Amino acid sequence: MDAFVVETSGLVKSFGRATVLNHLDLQVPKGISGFIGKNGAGKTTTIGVLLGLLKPNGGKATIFGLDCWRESFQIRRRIGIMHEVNAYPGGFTAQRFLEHVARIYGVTQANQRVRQVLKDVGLSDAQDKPIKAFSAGMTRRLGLAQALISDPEFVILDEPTANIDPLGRVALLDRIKEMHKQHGTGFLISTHILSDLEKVCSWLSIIDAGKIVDQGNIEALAEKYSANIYKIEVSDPQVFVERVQMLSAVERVWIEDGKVYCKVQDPAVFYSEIPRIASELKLQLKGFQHMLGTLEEIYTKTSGGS
Amino acid sequence: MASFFSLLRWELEEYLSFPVLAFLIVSAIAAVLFQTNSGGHITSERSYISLFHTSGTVFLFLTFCAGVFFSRSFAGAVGKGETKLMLSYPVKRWQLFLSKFTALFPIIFVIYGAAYALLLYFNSISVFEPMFFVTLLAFLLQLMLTCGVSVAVAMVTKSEIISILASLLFLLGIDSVGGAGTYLSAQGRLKFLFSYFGDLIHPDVPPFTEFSATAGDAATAVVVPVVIFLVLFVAAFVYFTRFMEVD
Amino acid sequence: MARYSAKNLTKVGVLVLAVGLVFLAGTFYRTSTTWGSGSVSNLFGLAPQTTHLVKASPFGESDAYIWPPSNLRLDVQANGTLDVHIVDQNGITQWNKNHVVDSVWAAYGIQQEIFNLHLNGRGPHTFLVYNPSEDIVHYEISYTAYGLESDLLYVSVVLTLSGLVVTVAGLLLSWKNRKNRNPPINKQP
Repeated sequence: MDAFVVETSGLVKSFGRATVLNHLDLQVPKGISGFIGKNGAGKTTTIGVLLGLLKPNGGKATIFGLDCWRESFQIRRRIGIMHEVNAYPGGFTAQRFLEHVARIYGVTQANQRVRQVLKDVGLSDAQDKPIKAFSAGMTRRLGLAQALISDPEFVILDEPTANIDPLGRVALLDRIKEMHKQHGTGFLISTHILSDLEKVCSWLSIIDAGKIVDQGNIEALAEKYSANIYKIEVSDPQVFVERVQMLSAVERVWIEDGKVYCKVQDPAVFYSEIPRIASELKLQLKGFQHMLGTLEEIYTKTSGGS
Repeated sequence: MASFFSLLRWELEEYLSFPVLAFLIVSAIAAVLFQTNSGGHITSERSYISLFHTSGTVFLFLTFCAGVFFSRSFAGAVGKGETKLMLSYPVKRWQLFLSKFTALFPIIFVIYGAAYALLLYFNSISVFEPMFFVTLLAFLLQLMLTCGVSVAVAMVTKSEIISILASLLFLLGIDSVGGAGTYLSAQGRLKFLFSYFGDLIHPDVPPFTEFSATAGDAATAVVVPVVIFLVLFVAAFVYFTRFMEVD
Repeated sequence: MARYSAKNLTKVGVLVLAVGLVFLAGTFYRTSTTWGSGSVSNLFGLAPQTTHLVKASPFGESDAYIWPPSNLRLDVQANGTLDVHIVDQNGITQWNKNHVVDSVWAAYGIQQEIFNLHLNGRGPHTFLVYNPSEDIVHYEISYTAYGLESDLLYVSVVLTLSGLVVTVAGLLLSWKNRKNRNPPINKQP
């Protein structure tokens, strides 16, 4: 694993008596990462601290190894951000707004860059429209455009798919994937919508009550939080099931689409018994696969099932 | 510095774009046209006195407009999330704060000053009449006071509407309570300045009131609003650039 | 590009229109509030064959009234005949320097009369009263300025109409641009 782009250790942020971030240890590698948690878990506050908008009460937060409060300006030159709340100037056209943002970033040939980014996010036709006339989906795409205008190394997206229809959501996530593929841009997607992350992320950090409850590569997490279900393909499923359900290591067995599924209590015993049973019954073992846990399972197990 | 000018352009386009700018210009002209001459007959020897007698509506409109504009730009931007957006870009906080001030302050002053110059034509006063510039100084002081109060209140409340109401109630309240007898009220300051400079510049013309101000009165009329402005503005600036959290 | 020009044209038009309308409203508002009425008279009477510049100021060249270009109602009451002149800034200077009468309005040989006239110029104006008779004449001239300020009215109307024309032109242009961008679909026979 490469060095982490974003790292926090023991990060604490309180508003009055309410502690929103409670010793948060977040690690985000380059790539597309998910940052998931319930509403109020502390995602937006974490992003606020990362951007230098909020001063932490304790701990450390860095992006590219730079301190998020003291070296915030240098960080902001290298990253793009799309906030959850739409605060874009409604009277500006998309083109004008992005030109302003490009100039702030010191982008050379701002007009060309604006046209390119508008094309990338699929807003070329709406470039002369005032932002206040944009639909929710268009506004989110504009948000993505302004985050990408400076061709940043890393982009933070706070609830990028909030308030948009399912098709718009899929399109936006596809664009994020494309950007990563084409330009190698890293993304941190903060959301409470699991299905969004399942499609695009390779890394997941789960936050609950201001603490990281688990994080890591999505496959590793899936393995860790899998439900111990195995899919087995054999030449005669019916005979195989009758024998397998007698095993004490197996909790439940069923057949679906001609394949045998087993929910297992003791995987070690199960692993050794299956080839033996197949050979005993003279059945051909065509396939054996551990079904990984879904994001939903991971999330349910880590953040208390809500 | 490039991003400061980019911010300045942004502020101008957003807060002084077409309908808002039109409103500002129209309000300034209305403030000059819709006033009554409370000074009775204006004569050519004492025509400059009309500048004093016809400034009440301009002070009122100027205070109102400046209060609303500064509150919108500072508190409104925080409330809407625009400050959060801007500070997520590579923008230094002092640049954002000063770009807001630089975009609004001179433009409001120039528009009101230019509109007030209509009175020179109406009352056949020379463009070089020193008392015209004394009146402009009084407008500048009122604008500074309004700016200082509005920006400071905006930093505390972070709510556009509360900031507008609080600053206007404070400023217009002072005018209403203090009348022309205090250095804090717009009319009071102008009276001290007009009386002192009127006697100094036009000694051959009888004073426009029985009241006669000293140099100390005139200096206090200038220093009080300037000091209040500096204290409030610097406090707001330091808070915004060093301590304010944007969530 | 054409769309931007049309949009900007409309904006300029609306701005000019708004300024014109506020001038117009101000013109009507000012008729009754800014200038009032007054009277001038002489305590000891005007000596025969002499001319008097009313309100000649002890402080300077003159102490003329600032009148707007509006209607003026004059009520002259005298116990003998008088010539009454109204002089503007130039006339005041002419009289003070050369004793030449250069009036913007005059009435000769009047005793008790009411006049309704219109002053076109803005700036200081005053009365120049001449007693052509052989006797001392006591007089009182009452004056009231009323009606619209003609220069302000003229500017208001010009601005309002110009604003209206420019706004309509801008709107027509943007309508035309929109039509060119979305041409009607030809129906197939």
